[in-house]
Amino acid sequence: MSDHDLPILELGEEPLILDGLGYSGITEMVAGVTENKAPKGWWIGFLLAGAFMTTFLGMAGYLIVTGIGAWGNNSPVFWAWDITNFVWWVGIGHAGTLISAVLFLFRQKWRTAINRFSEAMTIFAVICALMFPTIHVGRVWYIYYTLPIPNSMGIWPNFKSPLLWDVFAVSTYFTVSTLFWFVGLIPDLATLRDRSVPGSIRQKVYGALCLGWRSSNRHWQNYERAYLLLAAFSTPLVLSVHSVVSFDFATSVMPGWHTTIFPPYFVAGAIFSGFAMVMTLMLITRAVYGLKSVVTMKHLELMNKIILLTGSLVGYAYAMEFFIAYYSGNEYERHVFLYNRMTGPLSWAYWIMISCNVISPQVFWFKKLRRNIPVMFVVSIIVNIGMWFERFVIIATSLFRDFLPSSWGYFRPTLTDIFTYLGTLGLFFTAFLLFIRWVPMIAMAEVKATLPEADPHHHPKHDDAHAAAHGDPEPAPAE
Amino acid sequence: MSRRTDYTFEENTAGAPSVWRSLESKQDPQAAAERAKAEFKATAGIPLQHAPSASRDDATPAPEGEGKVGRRGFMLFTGASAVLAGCARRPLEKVLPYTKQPEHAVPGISSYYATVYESRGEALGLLVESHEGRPTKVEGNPDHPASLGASDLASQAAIWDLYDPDRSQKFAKSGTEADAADFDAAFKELAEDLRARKGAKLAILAPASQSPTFLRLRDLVKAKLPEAKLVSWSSVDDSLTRAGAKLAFEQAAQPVYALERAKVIVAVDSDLLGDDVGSLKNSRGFAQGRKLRSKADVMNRLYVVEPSLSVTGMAADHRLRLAASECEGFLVAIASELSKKHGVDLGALGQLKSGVKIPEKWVQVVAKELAQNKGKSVVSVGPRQPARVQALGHAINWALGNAEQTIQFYPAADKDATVDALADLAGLTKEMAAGGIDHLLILGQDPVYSAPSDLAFGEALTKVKHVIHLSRGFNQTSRAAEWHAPEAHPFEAWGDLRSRSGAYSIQQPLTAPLFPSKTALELLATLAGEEPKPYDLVRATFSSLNPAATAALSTTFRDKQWKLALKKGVVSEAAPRALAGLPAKLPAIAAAFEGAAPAKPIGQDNLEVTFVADARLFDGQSANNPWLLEVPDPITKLVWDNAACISPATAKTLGLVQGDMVRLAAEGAKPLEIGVFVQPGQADFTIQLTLGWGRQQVGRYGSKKGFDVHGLRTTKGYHTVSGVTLTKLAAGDIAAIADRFASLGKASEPTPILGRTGPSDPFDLDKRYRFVQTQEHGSMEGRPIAIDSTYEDYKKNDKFVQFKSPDPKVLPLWNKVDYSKGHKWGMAIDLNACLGCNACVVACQSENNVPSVGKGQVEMGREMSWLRIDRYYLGEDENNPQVAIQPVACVHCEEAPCENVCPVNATEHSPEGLNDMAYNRCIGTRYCANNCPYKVRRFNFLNYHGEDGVLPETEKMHMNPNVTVRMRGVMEKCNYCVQRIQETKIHTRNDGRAIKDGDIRTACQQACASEAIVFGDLNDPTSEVSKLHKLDRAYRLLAEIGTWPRTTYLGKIRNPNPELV
Repeated sequence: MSDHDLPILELGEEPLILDGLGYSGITEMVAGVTENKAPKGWWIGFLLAGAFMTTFLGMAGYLIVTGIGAWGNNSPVFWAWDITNFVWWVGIGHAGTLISAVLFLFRQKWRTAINRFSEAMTIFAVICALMFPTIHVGRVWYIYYTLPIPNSMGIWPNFKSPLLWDVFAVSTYFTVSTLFWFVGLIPDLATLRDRSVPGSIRQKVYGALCLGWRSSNRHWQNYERAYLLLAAFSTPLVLSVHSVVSFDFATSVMPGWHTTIFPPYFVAGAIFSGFAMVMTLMLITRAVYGLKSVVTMKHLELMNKIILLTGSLVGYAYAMEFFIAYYSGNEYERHVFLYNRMTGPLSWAYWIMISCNVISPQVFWFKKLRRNIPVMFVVSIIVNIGMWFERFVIIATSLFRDFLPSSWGYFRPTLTDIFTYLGTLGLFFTAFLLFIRWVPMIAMAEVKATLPEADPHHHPKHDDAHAAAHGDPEPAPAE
Repeated sequence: MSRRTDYTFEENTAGAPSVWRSLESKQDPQAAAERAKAEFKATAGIPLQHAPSASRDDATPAPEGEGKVGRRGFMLFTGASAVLAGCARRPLEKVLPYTKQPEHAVPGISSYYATVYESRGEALGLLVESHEGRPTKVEGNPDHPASLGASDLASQAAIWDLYDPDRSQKFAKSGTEADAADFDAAFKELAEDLRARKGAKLAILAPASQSPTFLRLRDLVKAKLPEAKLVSWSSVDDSLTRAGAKLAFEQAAQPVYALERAKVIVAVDSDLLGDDVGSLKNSRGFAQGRKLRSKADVMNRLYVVEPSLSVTGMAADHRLRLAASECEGFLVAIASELSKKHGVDLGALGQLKSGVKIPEKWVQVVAKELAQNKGKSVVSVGPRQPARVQALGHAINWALGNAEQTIQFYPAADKDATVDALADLAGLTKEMAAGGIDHLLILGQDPVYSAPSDLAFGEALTKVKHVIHLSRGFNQTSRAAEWHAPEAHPFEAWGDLRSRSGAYSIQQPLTAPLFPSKTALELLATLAGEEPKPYDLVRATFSSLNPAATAALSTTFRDKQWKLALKKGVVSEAAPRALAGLPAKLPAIAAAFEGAAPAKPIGQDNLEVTFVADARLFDGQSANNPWLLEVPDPITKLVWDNAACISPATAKTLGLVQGDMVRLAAEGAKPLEIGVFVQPGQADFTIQLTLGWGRQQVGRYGSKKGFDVHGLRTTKGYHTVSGVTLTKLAAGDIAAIADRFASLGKASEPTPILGRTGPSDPFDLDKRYRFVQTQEHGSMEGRPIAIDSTYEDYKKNDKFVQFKSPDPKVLPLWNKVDYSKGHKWGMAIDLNACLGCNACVVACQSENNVPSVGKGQVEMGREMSWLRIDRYYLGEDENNPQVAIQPVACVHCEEAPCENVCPVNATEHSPEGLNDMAYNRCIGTRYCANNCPYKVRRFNFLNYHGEDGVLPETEKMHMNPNVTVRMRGVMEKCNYCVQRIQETKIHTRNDGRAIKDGDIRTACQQACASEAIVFGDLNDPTSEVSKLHKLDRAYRLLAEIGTWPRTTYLGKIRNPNPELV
């Protein structure tokens, strides 16, 4: 018997849902967003995001027609904003699975208010991320060469290449995340179906999407089991995806990349940036749609604690990288950290990164600041910026001055670089706004399960006896 | 790779068609010719641009457009001309020996033809690779004494000039297009008229020539038109060298160095390994004296005294920065020291006093070394030093017994060569301005651009009634001319050249002229009233070379001799001329010194400018060649520009930084506005300017690139200008210049090729000129990259490289691949031999279809050259550093970091150890390039060869058909010329023999005059490359990463004199 099986009220914790919202209150609040007219703010946001998304399409089209030379990439900085953006987006895409799967397995019930939201964010972030490795190749029309498709030439992809691992890792992650998200959505979609006018298109669409959900006991049983399995399946992916992404760098011979600390460091950084992004988005949505009683200050504070933790981990990693470079005595390593990053022509990026990622989250040591919405909003934005710079620093400062000084160079982005990046933000927000508009953005069924009334027979002994009788160590799912 | 085709000729007896296709063609050749003409409308005698390129039957001229020569059109033309040579009774000018399809001429297999090309005043014997009649690649002719199988930058790039889309393609009269026939008729008439008037009021301006046929015809013209004024002048020449020899020996003898015999070389303002005449032979000889196999080997020592860092200066063991005008003082001090301390008899020359303060130690040490190495030393004086200084150099060499040992004298090709070409030009211009010239024939060049500014040649030209200008491009002079005639490229015209050491070579055309054109020989012959058939003219010269011997021989034998000469590329070499009577001349030389005014000391208010032929563009003749425009300067590493080089100390004194715009002004000269480039090694308060840049009208790539410095060059300040004042331009002036540049189109010349554009604004945000270098960081940062040591230290520790760049001592994670069976290709690059001349870089570019990308792209760091030459500065003194040069291309790592990161297996190892690129498979993730520690991989960021249909038709023709032309989005890099390896493997397999060492030579190796690059099979213990890999000096670049490169470097050994360190 562990604490997490106890209902929240018995632990003396703050309730997760405030303002006395009950089942119907939650349903009204969440489903209402998709049923009522979109507020003006949504339209403004949607048009803005749509404009940026169109920019992205234009930029990508220009890039494909012109060549990678449309960007500022050069020799020796063969990768620049493209891979920076890719890693940044993948990193952002981490929080979703972490919140929905890992926290689920750890029975962190507070996750229910934010998991749908962050999972959606994950999916859209991974879509944005996937854009970059796709369009950044010189000949995008041959990108299928990276897939293990049997062909007459008998050539397979190179299984030694971390880029190929990337292809598998990110696509797996994307597939599993989407599935997980969709499975979680089924009961809520059914709710929307049930609330629609009979015979309307809305009813048909939601009806098709919820796969005939009738909320029967059997359905719930299968659903809970599937959800648990998918959670278990996604959990290692949280660690693997960014570890694999970090292998792109760690397995190379470039000083500044060739570092064993990368996998945990990247995962910590990914969670860090993912949480910051969830925070940014949630604060806005929460304010716009008045979700204060579902996404409470407690949620926000817990997330801030995670941001503080991962931010400090990342800071430790920065320090350790630097120390190892110094301690190794390897002149190339030392050069990358001491000169390229700290003092060289690109040092501004390094110091932006340090200030944003290491210094700014330290404000969360103070409870007052941790619970202050403007502070956390600003910090979350700063962390997002900082994490973008982290990737830029790792990529550009390692590449631009490597082994042979004769080939040293510098990197300057072109307008195409900048607008491609801004364009993916547009793509992301467009998808996100559509999600908010048409999909229940809070997992109604799950949130309801955290209400005190969702646990009518919460007798600890009952659970024990139940478990013993069936030889099942797992507690029965909430019914 | 120097397989030359063995071809046969048909007998050509006068008056009879030698080969025929049908009986009627034999009986009535004229009718057959008519029929052939009707059948091949597009060919015989009709300009090529009218040749139908789409269909063979469509005889209507192609729509107006420049140089529309499709592949088919070209093939049709060459093919048809070969056929026509057979069936029509064409004069048998055997352009290519396809009068009869030779058995071995298999389409797809290249053949090599010997020819000769003039580069930097020297005739270089070449073998040109041809694919089905299309020349694609230049190689050196090993039998030729001046090229020695190597080639230089200019001759490598010459192939592009042949296909230059902006070559003049049409005759023009007063700026409007004219027919070749009209020109012929007009010129013939004029010639008759002039002959009748004995050439009165006619002048001919031509560059000094090494061509016996040219000289023979010139003498004929002189005889027939005695009143004509003949002027030999070119903006870069060695007339002062001739003057020096004349002063010393009273004969125009030609000095040729044998540096392989020299122990001590003293170069006084002489770039004898770079810019000067004979640098190929000099480089070979110099390198031979430095290729240490072990510490027991001896090594030569090079002292260089010069104003600005040159290729020779980079190779120096000791280098003294001295203004050009002070070099005289140095040599005088040496002469005085030699005569006083070492008993060398220099007569009155030993008594001269040096007006310049030379570091005493330098004088003592150099003089001592020279005296200790009598007969094994050489003093070389550069071609821009006054005649008296050159004569003093000859005197020192003579007194030390070096003459006929390390320096040999040969009879000059042109016995009547003038020693003061500049005065002749000045005289001509004066006469022109005075209206004394009615007809001016200008053969080649662009004197309106390159003549000294005080002569106002362009203005004088307007006073001449009839100007006839023959040139490869329609340039500023052509614009002012009444008649412009396109000049044939040397690769498409008959001619001949004599090397400095007297070797006679026939300039064999490799293709029929691409456009209607003329040669100087034809025009001179017409003037002299000869039949202007270049083939006959050259053949006549050939026969006249030794008339007594050949007259006695049968025609058959003479023919055989001619064919042999064509095949071999070299006929005979003259014997060196023995010198006599120098001691008698010593007082005369000394007298020349007495008259000289002492130079005013160089200083802040008396800056000295020196002019030098640009290391890439030379005098600007090939200024439209993107290969030359983009190959980095060997010293500054600048591309697409020239600059005013000043030393760091001078920059500091004058408050200048790199890119600052300055105005240089001198008395009597036009002020020059130019960007400053801070160049270590430049003598303080001196400025080096390079000629050949800033041409206004040369073509789509070269026009308005760089700065035209000729305005500052006057007849008084021709090689050096003293008393130059420098003003830093303020932002306002620069705005005006920027406007002017913009109106000129200098800022960015939009070209069809996306890449080849300049940056949009020539100035950066600080209003500094945007110089673009391929290498901006000149320090090795203390890393073991271009590893060097001194000779003394090497003798103590011959394993020095092993300490600096040790091989990794770690257990492998996986089994190493076994390469011990079959071939194991490898390369060795001797840093002691490499001089940084760039010939290999352009050779690689030519062989491997590497594009030039333009200034803007290089600025972004996207140059494509597979082979680059890294240049590092060493030492504490930034004003006078030592230089390390290191050619870097793909080193073909056995454990290649690029290979395991490619997700699609586009770069893989071959069983012979080559790191291959499969372009078709490459999707362009660029991961391989990121992971390459040597950064030798090049990515096609844009379509550098142009989108479809954008690249001019002729420009495509230089492409090597054996190498893929890469599209955008694909990674590329050096592959050890895999196409050559495969070709040789096929040939040897067909011949049923094994590949011998030396059968395969990579393009870079082939071009290298100093034989610094050696390629071969490491599994063959007798191969040169295996031996080099085992030398104690051999090391692997960045060995500690564990990449196990196949290219090893041989550490550089410097040989400083311990007394001078």
